[in-house]
Amino acid sequence: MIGFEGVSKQYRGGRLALDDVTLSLPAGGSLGLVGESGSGKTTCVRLALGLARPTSGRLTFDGATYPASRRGLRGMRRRIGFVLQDPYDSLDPRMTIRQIVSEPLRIHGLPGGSGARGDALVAEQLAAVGLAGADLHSYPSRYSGGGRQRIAIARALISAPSVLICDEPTSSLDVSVQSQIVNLLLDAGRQRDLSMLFVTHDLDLIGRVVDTVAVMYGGRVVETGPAELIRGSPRHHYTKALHDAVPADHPRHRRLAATAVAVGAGSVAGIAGDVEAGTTRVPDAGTPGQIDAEPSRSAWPGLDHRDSCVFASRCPRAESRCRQERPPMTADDGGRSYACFYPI
Amino acid sequence: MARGLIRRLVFGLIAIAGVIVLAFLLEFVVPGDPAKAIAPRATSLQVLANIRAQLHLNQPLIVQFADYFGNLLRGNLGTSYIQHQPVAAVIGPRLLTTGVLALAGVVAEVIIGGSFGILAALYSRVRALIGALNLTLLAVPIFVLGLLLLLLFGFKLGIAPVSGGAGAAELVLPALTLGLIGAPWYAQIVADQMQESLASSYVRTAVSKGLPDSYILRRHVLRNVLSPAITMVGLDLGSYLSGVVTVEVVFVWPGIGLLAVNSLHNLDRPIVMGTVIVGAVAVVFFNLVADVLRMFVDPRTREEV
Amino acid sequence: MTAEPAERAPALEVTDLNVRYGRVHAVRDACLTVPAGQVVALIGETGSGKSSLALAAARLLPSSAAITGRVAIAGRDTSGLDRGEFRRVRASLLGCIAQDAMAALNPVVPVGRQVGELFACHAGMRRQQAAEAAVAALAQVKIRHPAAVARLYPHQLSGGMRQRVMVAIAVALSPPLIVADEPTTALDVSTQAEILALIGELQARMCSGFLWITHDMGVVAELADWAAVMYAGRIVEQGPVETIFDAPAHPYTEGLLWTRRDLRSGAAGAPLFQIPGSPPSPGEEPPGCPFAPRCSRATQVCVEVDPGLEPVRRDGGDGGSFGHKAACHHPVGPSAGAPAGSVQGSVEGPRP
Repeated sequence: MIGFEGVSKQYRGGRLALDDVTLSLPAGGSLGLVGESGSGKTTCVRLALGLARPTSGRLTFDGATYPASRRGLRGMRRRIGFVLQDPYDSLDPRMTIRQIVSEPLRIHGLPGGSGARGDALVAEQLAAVGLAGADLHSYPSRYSGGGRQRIAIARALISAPSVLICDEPTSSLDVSVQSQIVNLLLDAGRQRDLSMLFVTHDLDLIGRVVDTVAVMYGGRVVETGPAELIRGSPRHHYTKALHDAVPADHPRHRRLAATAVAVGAGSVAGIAGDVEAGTTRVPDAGTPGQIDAEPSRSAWPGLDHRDSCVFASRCPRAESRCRQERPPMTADDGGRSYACFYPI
Repeated sequence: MARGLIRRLVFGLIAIAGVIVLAFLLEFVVPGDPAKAIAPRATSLQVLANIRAQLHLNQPLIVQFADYFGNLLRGNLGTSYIQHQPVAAVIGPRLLTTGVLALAGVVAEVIIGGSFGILAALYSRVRALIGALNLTLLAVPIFVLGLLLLLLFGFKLGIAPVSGGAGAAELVLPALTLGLIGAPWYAQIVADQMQESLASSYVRTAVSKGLPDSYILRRHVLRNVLSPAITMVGLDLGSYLSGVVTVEVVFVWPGIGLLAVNSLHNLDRPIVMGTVIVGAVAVVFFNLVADVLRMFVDPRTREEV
Repeated sequence: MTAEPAERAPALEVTDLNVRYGRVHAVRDACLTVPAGQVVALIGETGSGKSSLALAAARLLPSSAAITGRVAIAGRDTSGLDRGEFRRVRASLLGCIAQDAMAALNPVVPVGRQVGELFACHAGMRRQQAAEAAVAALAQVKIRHPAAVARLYPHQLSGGMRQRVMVAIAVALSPPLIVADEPTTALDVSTQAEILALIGELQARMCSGFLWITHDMGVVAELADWAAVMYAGRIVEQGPVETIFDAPAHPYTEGLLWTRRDLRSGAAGAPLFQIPGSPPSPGEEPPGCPFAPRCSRATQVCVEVDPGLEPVRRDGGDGGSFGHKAACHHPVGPSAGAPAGSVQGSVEGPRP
């Protein structure tokens, strides 16, 4: 449904947010993008929504390249619904929820933008997201974070889109509400046979929500594959490190906060170069606090590492080859690909 | 950082050039014949025609402008029609006089306005009172305030000189007028910025460190107030230097504003042009200075440019 | 953790704490103890009152907040001290780690100075000495090239490094109590892992007590010795962390644990376990148990009577684990499987 073919995105000022990214969201299927800040996943969302254009490579929607004109984009946008992270920012506080939810109808010239028929339509959508009986003329300020996300979801679905893009839709919500919203999205996706692009930093969550996962780091895709495999047996060292960084599920199994003395490899496997004594992966000298090197300084992985593996400076397994050559995406049978010379 | 400054300098120069063109064109909209202004008692048409020819007034506009601009670049601002002296010599001392007033005015408004702002931010009980005071000062026209002060201190109480001049004693009232009129702006900025700082997370951190209140105010709060205040000072100095006309007229302060007004009446074009140019340069210059100062005070702005 | 915690006064002792903002009763009759040198996790969501409780103990709430109750830090009663007195003892008693390090650091002052002023003001050091002490403090939180970093401004550092600076400030004078307000919530998971490792190491070395606010049960599992769960301004359960994880007594705690468990090990494609409804807004004051509307075990008495915090009695007959308390009329038994709260179809009514 949505395809990224060798897409790169460089912002003015030289920041390379995406570096030769290839992804594919199949019609009726689901794709998850997992990564931390700076990974490029938000840029992918912006490109997919047509909010930015790729510097190179090709973006496709339903087989055709993304239109260049605003008119063309508008036609395409009718078929894309999206839910973004911040429920407090994504709804105009001066519009009633009726106006908010029906806005896509007005923009795309679909019936129901206003009038009694529109009221019924909006009420129906709200009921579908669990807000049955809500006052159409209420304002977003009346609702909690979870409530607002429901409104946002109603808005996303009202134009009967073919694709639903969710960018960290639950990260700003209370824990006890997150699963409700995720379940809502899953139900909606199933009932309407939507293709879903789900972006998050939570590896556990993504495993429950999508079929295929792409792990991103420093603007590149480092591993893709079926969700259970990515979670259960990662092949790229970053994926594994991400996995290991997740806190324990029971105090008995705690590892992260164990002191360096008590446990030999107590810290996150491999990543914590500067925390742990004894690691041999010393970073480039002169970069203050290398793990946390501020991306806006010269250490932007993309630009500095065009001809090397983007994760090499933090990887426990890195060899000199990793620093001199960029590993291509290698596919294995089992539907997985990874960009690594020495996978797990 | 340097790149940004150079860019601003270039734009500043372009702005000045634009002002010159505009002022030149406006001159020609003003009715009146400069030849008659120069020689008001001349009766012979021939004399007037000669004057016009001498001043190249019969040439096409473009030529006159090119002439003027060419002279400008050589540092020659022309000669006053009325005073028959080089414009620079006429404007120079007046500029200095206005400069003194401008500086005094800015100092006054920063002190008065800043104090109001700090008090309003720290003590909620006086906030309403200061707010009312600000509103009053904003509403009063500058010449009314000036005249009132002159009336009160000059005539009624007799402690301020009333007959114009540029001495220290004569400086007090006009500077005070400027100060009072400009104070509300500073009060507002200072109060807003301080309130924002006081409520901020980093002040809470400072409190959590157990630092004394006075230290927190000095080191953490006031620093963040400086940045917007500096911008305003730059703007004010620039605009005052182009002539605080009303104040100069009310108090007969022999500055560049008074000169400009009189010259307009007399159709003394070269002087008028000269004052306009000086004004434009002053505004651009002080804005640039303010930018540079701000970069020192607020490190975040260093990267922006 | 370390030896003989019973000999030292508790790092924090809160008794009958109430916090009100106008008519909103944010914290209700809270009693909490942080034993010396141990980590107590304070768990809750928005509106639970966890931040208010901690900030009230640290006296960092705005003056418009009405606070009653007793607070003792390292055995010293601080509720009676006036502002000036408390300010003087503050740095030696209490360190704070804020949630958003970017907002919590002054943007126009280099970070080294922000650490150094602690030493200058409290340890009476002069400028040069304080600067050196600041660099040492930054090195202690494992910042490489601490001297160079000390000259930088907060916006020039990454999120993880800023958080380390906050930690450095909090632990600089080795106070007996450190209050941490969700310090890792806004961080990437790998950065969070580093900070947790750092805290673990520092804690072992310093023997400070921690009051760690969070909503993330994983962080609780990693760090805490004790856990206290808050809901609608009340502490609804508290106890040793293993007990809480193995046999939670309050349905809300059970729900939180199950949510996480299901997320990690549930079947792909199956709906996620969810607690129905949503947390009450701060202004609401239902007469009974605040969790009743969302609780599958609720009965009439739950709607009418607000349960108090009582020790949990289990079949062992010995009054349950030491210190395990819950506020529930029908506490969950120790061998519960998946709770009945896994309702499909998410329903929420708009708040009036």
